[in-house]
Amino acid sequence: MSSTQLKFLLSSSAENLIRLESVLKRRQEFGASPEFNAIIDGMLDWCGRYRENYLQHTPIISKVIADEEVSPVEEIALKTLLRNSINTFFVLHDLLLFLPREKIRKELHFFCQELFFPIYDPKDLSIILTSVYNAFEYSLDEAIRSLDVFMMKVPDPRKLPFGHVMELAIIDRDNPLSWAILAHEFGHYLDQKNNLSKPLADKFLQEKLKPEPNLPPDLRRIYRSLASEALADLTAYYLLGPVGILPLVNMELNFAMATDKPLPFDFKHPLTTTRLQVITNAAKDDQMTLGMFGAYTQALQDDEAAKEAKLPSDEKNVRSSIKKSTTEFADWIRNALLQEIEKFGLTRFSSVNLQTANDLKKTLLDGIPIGSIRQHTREEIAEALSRLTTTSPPSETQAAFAMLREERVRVAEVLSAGWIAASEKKTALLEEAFSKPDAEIFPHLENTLENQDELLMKSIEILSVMERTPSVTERS
Amino acid sequence: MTYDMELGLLATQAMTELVHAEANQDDNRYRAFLQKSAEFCKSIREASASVELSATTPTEIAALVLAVRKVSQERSSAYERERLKQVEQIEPVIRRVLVEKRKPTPAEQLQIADVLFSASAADFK
Repeated sequence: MSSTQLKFLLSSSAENLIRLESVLKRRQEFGASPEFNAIIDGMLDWCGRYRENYLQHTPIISKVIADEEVSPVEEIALKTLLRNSINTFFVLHDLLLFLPREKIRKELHFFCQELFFPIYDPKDLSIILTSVYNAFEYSLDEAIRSLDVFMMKVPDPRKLPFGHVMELAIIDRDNPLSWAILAHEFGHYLDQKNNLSKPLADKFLQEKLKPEPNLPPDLRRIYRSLASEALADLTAYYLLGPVGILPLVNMELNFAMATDKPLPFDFKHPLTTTRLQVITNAAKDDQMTLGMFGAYTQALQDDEAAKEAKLPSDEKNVRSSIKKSTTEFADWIRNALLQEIEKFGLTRFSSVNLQTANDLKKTLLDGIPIGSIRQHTREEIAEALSRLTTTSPPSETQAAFAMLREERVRVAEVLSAGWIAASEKKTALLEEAFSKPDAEIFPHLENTLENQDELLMKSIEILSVMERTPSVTERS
Repeated sequence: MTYDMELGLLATQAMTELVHAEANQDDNRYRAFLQKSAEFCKSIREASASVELSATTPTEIAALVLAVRKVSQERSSAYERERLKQVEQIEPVIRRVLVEKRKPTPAEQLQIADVLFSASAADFK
């Protein structure tokens, strides 16, 4: 396993543990009801055991962070810790089902309102938290119609339009970076409401299998699912740029640690490395790159390649054929899907936005929220102001001072800046934390994560305030 | 996804013992590593064991036992069979080292560690 992958997993699994503990402690403090104590205490106890095991591995972790060689036994010990910590996290997250559901944060509403403008309508699209460590989108009407109990009580449930639901993992409630996954789910919402991907999947099969034979229904279903996932991925890309695919990479790297085999093809989603390739190609066409997240995307590819190498040759061949077919299909359908997405008048993320995000990242790393940005460099402004004299005409003075004006940035830029900053400082954060005495390691990680979340929340809140409040110059 | 948290923790704790045993050349911690590894193997074997029939089992109970055995065999995945096979390979090694009251050789350590890692994976059916 590469050192990058180990570092990623160290950071990610510790983060999951901390976030889970923070959900549980919050429930204990604010939603305290004795009937939930047993489950909260039980889960906190499991988190505590893994915290303890992490600390027992501090010397090995420090070696990994410093890129020093670890012995084979040390490497297996670390991998065993990571694997079981991640798997235990998955199980515990599922168990959150037994606790009362929290509401989502107001900042997430601001986020959706801006990112999905002008389509987002909270009356048609609810957002709830789910105990499954994943994200979903579905029509609540259809889900409710399939419930027997509901059918018995309501003569015609069709008359009750409940709209759609997007589900976000409970653990991601306070983590704005993870909200990027909702852009993918929003793509499914658009697709279901407007029947976008299905006709294209059918068209592909018609073109490729001319004259159309008796098409096995399963094949049609598979291609429709693949098209639907491609549309969702491309919607996330359209709205957020390269960052749109990162929650998936993040999740996949965690799942990859859970098992020794490459994650199987589920006949619905293309393999994640294929999806990553599709977005990389789309970004390249738009003069953007996933290079700044290269370490993690590479880790994912390396992990898959290493696991595939151990497969029997027949399984290896099947996987390779699946990749080839799904990639060809994705290439065929990509531009048509992007054209469909374009029709909704959503704001497309471009290379200019990525550049802005990269500039904003520096402010974030300084610990300052990023609701706005100046259009001129510090040097340009200094130069203009230094030219002013007591006899300068008012127009020149106004022009110089107007250069100080801050332009509101977009929520997609804030999120991208957040991802870039978090990726860049991941290793440094680990280094910092594990250089401290044992008792301070987890509190340090906890504080840093909390600050990162709050900084992004504050930035999103500032955007919503700026949206509603005209600037001083606009008012005059 | 199927995953046994107790088994996972046992594997993690066993490896923690080995790391500390290696770092400090501590015989007690080598023993703890072996004992926890043995416990891990036993748990897997017990979880995969089928119900045995003796000659004296009454017919009406035997029918139930056979039905249970059939269901459990059907449910047993390739992953479970593979895991059992791995465990059966290291159990004699662990037993021998414990009986000989010595620390495991580097090759034995690696063999056991590899199985603890692999056999604590989740099963994506």
